[in-house]
This record gives sequence, C-alpha cells and structure tokens, in this order.
Amino acid sequence: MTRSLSPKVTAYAGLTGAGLLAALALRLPELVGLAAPFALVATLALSLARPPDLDVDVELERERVLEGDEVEAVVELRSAGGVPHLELLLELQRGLELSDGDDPVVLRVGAGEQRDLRFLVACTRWGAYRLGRVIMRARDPLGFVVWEWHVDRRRPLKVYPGEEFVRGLLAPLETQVFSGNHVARQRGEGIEFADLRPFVPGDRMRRVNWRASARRGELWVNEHHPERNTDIVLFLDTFAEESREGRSTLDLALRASVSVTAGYLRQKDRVGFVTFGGMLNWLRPATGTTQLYRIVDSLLDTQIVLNYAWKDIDVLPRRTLPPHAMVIALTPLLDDRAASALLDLSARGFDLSILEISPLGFLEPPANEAAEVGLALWSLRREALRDRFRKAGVPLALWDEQRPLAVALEEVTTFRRFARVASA
Amino acid sequence: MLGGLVGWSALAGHRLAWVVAAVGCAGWAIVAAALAGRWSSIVAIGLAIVGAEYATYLSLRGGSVDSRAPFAAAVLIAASELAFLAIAPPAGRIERTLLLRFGLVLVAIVLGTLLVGELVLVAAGSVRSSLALEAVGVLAAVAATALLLRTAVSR
Repeated sequence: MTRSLSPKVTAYAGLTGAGLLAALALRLPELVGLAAPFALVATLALSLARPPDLDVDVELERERVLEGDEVEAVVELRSAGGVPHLELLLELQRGLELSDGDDPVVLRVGAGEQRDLRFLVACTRWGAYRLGRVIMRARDPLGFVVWEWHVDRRRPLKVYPGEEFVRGLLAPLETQVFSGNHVARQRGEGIEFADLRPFVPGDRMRRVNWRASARRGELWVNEHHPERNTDIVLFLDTFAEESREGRSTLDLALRASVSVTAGYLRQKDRVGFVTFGGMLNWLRPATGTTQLYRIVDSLLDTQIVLNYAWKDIDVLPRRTLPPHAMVIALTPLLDDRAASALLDLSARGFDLSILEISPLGFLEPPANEAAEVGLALWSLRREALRDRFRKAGVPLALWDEQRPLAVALEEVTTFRRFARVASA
Repeated sequence: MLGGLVGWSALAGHRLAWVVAAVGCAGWAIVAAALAGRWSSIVAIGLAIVGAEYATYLSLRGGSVDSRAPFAAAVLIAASELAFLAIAPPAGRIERTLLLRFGLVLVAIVLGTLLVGELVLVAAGSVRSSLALEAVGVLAAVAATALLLRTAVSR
C-alpha cells in the first residue's frame, strides 16, 4: 500500500503561512481570519486520516462460459473501521468487456459494513482468463491523504469458443478396430450389406441369404461391413496468424477445431490434436467427454509465438499420430514450415485434409498500386501452394467468416470422393 | 464564486480600484488556467493573489476591521475545495450518498470558516498591538505552518 499526500497539503500550508505573515506585515487581523481556516481544515484532515482497513474478495458466477456469454463477478468489501472515500477498479483483460455496472466506481464503505459490487462481464473472445485483480485508491474524508494498493483475488475463467454448425463430418479412409459409427471397408459383423459368398462350415445360419441360396441351389451367406471408429488428429498451425480489430485467423481455427472435435467425439471416435508452431503442444487421441474438455482447455492456451527454428514432424511423439489416423489441418498457410510439415505428413501416407483459414479478410486494403501488385503476387504464390497440395492428392478447402464451416467440409468431402489416394 | 469576491473587492473600495481589480483579475486568471490545464501546483498561487487583492482593498480602505472578512474567507476556502476537486476528480461514477456527503462536508467547512472568522474579528477588536505581540505572532505563524507540514509527513 502506498501513501501519498494530496497537493492540497502544500497549498493549504502555503496559504496559511502567506496569510498569517501578510496579516502581521500589513497589521490586518482580517487576513488571520482568511488564513486560519486553511490551517484548521488541513490539521483536522491530517489528524483524522487513517489507513484503510478493507477485506476484499472476488467471486465469479461460473468458471466456464461460451464465447459471447456474460458472467457476473461480485466484489465483496468488508471494513471494520470504514473507508470514507474508495475508488475501485476491477481489472479486465483484453477479451473481457464490462456490459453492466460501473468500472471504476467511487463509493463509501461504512464501519462494519459489507458492500457487494456486481459487475456483468461480457466474454467477447475465447481464452483462459484470470479475473479478480482489484485496484483501489482511498482518501481521507477531506481529500488530503491518498492510499493506493491492489489485491489479487483472481479466479480462473475459461471462455470456450462457440461451435459452428456442421451438418456432416469428413469420412475417414481407414478405420480402427474399435466399434464406432463409420462403415469400414473390411468385412465382418455389421449392418451395411457388403457381398455374398458361398457358405463355409462355421458360418451362422442367420447370415444365410435364402433367396440367393434358392436360386443357386446351395447355401450362400451375406457379408457385411462392420461399424468402426476412427482416429482423428487436428493439426493446428500456430506459426503465424493474420489479425485485425481484435479478430484473427487463430480465432477461426479454434472455433473450427472445437466444432469438429465435438462432432467426432459424439460419434465415439478418438480425437487428438497437435499445435505445431512456435510452441509445440499435443494430446494423444482419446474418446469421451473428458477428452473434449481436455482438448478445449488445451486449445484455450494456444497462442502464436514467433519462432525462427525449423521444425519437423519427427519432433512429435509417435503415438500422437497413430497409424491410419485422419489428420485435419487448420492453417492459414502463412508459414512455409507448416506447409512443409503437411506435405511431409501426406508423403508418409497419412489421410490428410486441409481447411485453409483465409487471411484475406484480415488484411488492410492495399493503399496504392505497388501494394495491389504485391497482394496479387502473394495471392498467386498461395494459389501455387494450394496446387502443390492438390497434386499430392491432399484435399484443401478455403474457409472464412463469410461462409459456413459446413460448406468448406463439404468441399473437402467432394474432393475426397472423386480423388482418392491410391496406396500399394 | 471567486470572480464575485474579486469584483466585490474592486467595487467596494474607493481608492485605486483599478489596482485592486488588476490584482484580483490576475489571481482569478491563474486559478482559471489551473482548472483548465489541471495544474494543481498553481491553484494556491492564484488563490493567494486573490487573497492579496482583498488585502490590498483592506490596506487602501483603512478604518475599522472589515466585518465582511469571514464571508471572504468562506468564499476563498469553498473555491479552493471545489478547485482541487475539479482538478483531480475521482475516477469513475460517484455514488449519490458520497456526493451528498461531500456537499455536507463543504457546507460544514464554510460554516466553520464563518465561525472562525467571527472569532478572529472579536479577538482583533479586544487586543492592542505591540512589538512583543507581533513577534509572538510571527513565531506562531511559522510554527503553525511547520506543525501542519510535520503532521502531514508523519501521518
């Protein structure tokens, strides 16, 4: 707590001295009457000034909210001796805005009184926040002494990105061995009809196709495709981002990640993720609601960290990218290292699909002809990179804020339907 | 408020009114500049010059003790309190009860100033001047200022 004197102290002392000396010099008792009140007010204020005795606590209505939601923060103030003049500010980080209530606020806390100040905070951007740092300034009743201090009663607040509506998800090329919602290519126990074959000893009688058997004069059985789950790995490019007016390509990427993750986990698939950039972060594929919270909580900590080191996907643990996993990459394709890593993944035989988060919506319009030419060249370079991916058989769809995510996923699905990767 | 005191001091006197007015206007202008620029350091200078205008009026007037001095003191201290509040207002929305409390405190200060002024006038009427008394007065003025500053530092 820092204590400081208001400029009134020196002003009143100076006026007192000047008035009294002038009264003596000019032999005017009226000037004593002018100066004395200043001395009396200052002396009274300084003798009544006591350091504030205040207990502060901060409570949040909820710890987890969705982007765009509002959460109430209550600042509880208790003072045994009272604080006659208190200025209070609840510090809000970028991404949180005050939607109701006053911040800062000037109030008085009576002796033995408890005051609850309510702040309605709008969570405008996803992220992991810690809300509850309170900065205070107290004054004596006449404003001569000022005390300033802050208390840290921060509570965690997790703001999850909103989900985009997704009608259908990408179907994997390969499935895993566990039961799930995807029709596998293999033959086995299932619902989807696959083929007919002659009966062999050991086949169940209920699999006999009696119509075909009657036509052929011998027993034939149905074969089905089993339903299996799949492994999905979200590959998030965090080398660089394009941002404007508080929004960025990373925001879109996270929103898509959460939507896709929730969709696949609902289908009982295993989902993992990798953030590949200045900071590496990964989570092995798993299933269930717990995995959803693990992934989203990890995504909340994602940030762009500038780094010039060249990274290879070999730095990732082997089980992070399981064999036959479908990799969905979310990238603005701003950094060559990310593009190189993705081409490497494709070359290693992973089932790769790319959702390109378009940075064009975050750019300032070109100011002159040279900037226009530069933008055109940059766009051509990006188109050439996209062409490299398409020639490698990697489906790539462009997504921005103007289009639903479902449209971009449908584009990828269409590409995969008509251009499959052939493996020996 | 301060302008009223400046104008009254200039108009109430009969001699060299323009000198009194000039001094008062200078003080008023300094206070106005301090308010506009939020310079708390020169508010006291402006108020002191307005006080000097009143002292000039009293010196030129001569005669008996001015019975209106307590009112001049009340105006000066009220203007001072309001000026410092305007220069460094509290950050944020002020609760209504706190505003009311400040108003009551200001009224109490003004009433107290009037009372102190009247007491000083009564005391001035019953005491004759002497060299020893003047020396005591100087010492008291210096001691009062020093005590004020020492109290401020120790608190």
